[in-house]
Amino acid sequence: MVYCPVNAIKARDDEVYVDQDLCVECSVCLKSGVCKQEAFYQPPLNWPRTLRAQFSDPLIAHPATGIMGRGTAEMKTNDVTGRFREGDVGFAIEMGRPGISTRFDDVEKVAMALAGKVAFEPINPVTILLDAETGRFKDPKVRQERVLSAIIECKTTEDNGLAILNLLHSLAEEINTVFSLCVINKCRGHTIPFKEKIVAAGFTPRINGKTNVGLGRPLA
Amino acid sequence: MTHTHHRRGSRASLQHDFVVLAMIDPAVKAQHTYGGPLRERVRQFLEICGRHNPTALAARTPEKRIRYLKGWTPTLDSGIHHAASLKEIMTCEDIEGIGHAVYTNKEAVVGVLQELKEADLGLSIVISGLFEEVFDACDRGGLAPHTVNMSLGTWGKTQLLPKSPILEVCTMCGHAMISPNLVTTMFDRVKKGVITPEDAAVELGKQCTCNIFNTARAVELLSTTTLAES
Repeated sequence: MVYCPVNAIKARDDEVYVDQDLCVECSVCLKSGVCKQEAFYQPPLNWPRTLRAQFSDPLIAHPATGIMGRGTAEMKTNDVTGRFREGDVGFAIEMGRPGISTRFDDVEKVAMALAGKVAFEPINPVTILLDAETGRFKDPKVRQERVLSAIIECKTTEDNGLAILNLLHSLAEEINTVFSLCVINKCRGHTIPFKEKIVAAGFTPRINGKTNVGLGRPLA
Repeated sequence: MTHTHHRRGSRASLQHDFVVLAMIDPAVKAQHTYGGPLRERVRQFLEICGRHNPTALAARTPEKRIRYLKGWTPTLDSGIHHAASLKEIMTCEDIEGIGHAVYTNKEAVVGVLQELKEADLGLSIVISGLFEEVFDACDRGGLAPHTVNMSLGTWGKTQLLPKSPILEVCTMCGHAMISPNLVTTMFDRVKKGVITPEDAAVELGKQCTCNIFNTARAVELLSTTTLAES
């Protein structure tokens, strides 16, 4: 039971069972081999429950991206894609992370608030579920699904970036989960232009993060 | 795939936690062919990483992930989780275009960057760690930071989060495969002397199928907290 990241394995009288509403189909229990009776099994998944495995099990490649995990190449290959140019700011809003999980209705709430104000990353597992103009899910049945995390990826300009941060700050009060927030910016030497703006506005980036060191070829 | 991001901890603890990731972009075909066959270039990447004493090293084949974690021997295998040796990974022939390594000191990262620059493999390389340390490593490796991904932390119902240092251990797997309850159990077992911090760290790290868990840092966290509570 302690292996389950979302406390979906429950005990009742002499029985242990998986709470199907809480279960996000991450398969940690199955992979761990912890059950000596081999009692865990994954039943066949039908739409929209298939999303749970796609967004929760990093050994499953998402059909939209072909990448295992829940996101995209984002800044990791920015040296060869030029996805984020000087003056751009990228955001990755990872709903449910770290380890809390999220329902898609909370994802939709944030996506709807951002729609029209940012450009959603087109090759992203969340974006393909959305009507990009409204931020609503094309299929409303998606809303009640629960996943370990789902990343809304988008881009705007440095000039608009602070307004997006302030919007996300207010949305944080309205959701029933958490999100971890990534802010992507192209460097000018050792300077991170947008960092200076967000610090001046009262936000505090963590001391650690990710750095693309520019070794990808051919350079964009 | 921000799985190496948002690792929690103090500056002192994070000074011993660096992840090196190699990736190619699915849409940039010229990167797939730059400088020769991709498999050979990834193999060179893994060789370079393996020479600098990683705490973790991982590669992918079309069928499986091959995983080395310091302290993980086959006697600790379970479920789908199987230990590999550094040599097994460094000499693997059938590998795909991605790999990871975890280090506990900046000098190793500097050495890796210097060798990668010289090798000119064309792979996109991302380092996760303290920005000031990574930027310094770039300087010493003759490189300039290209793009950063900053973390602004966790927003929303943060009262749902487990307490530190549970979170510091859990966030070393960005896909949240390591349950807070398992971490709590391991802290408890270490405290009672039922399991060594080293074996507890491996049991936790095994769940992180991407293999970016830092067992050395986990041992430090498990040991320190146990001592403090004792």
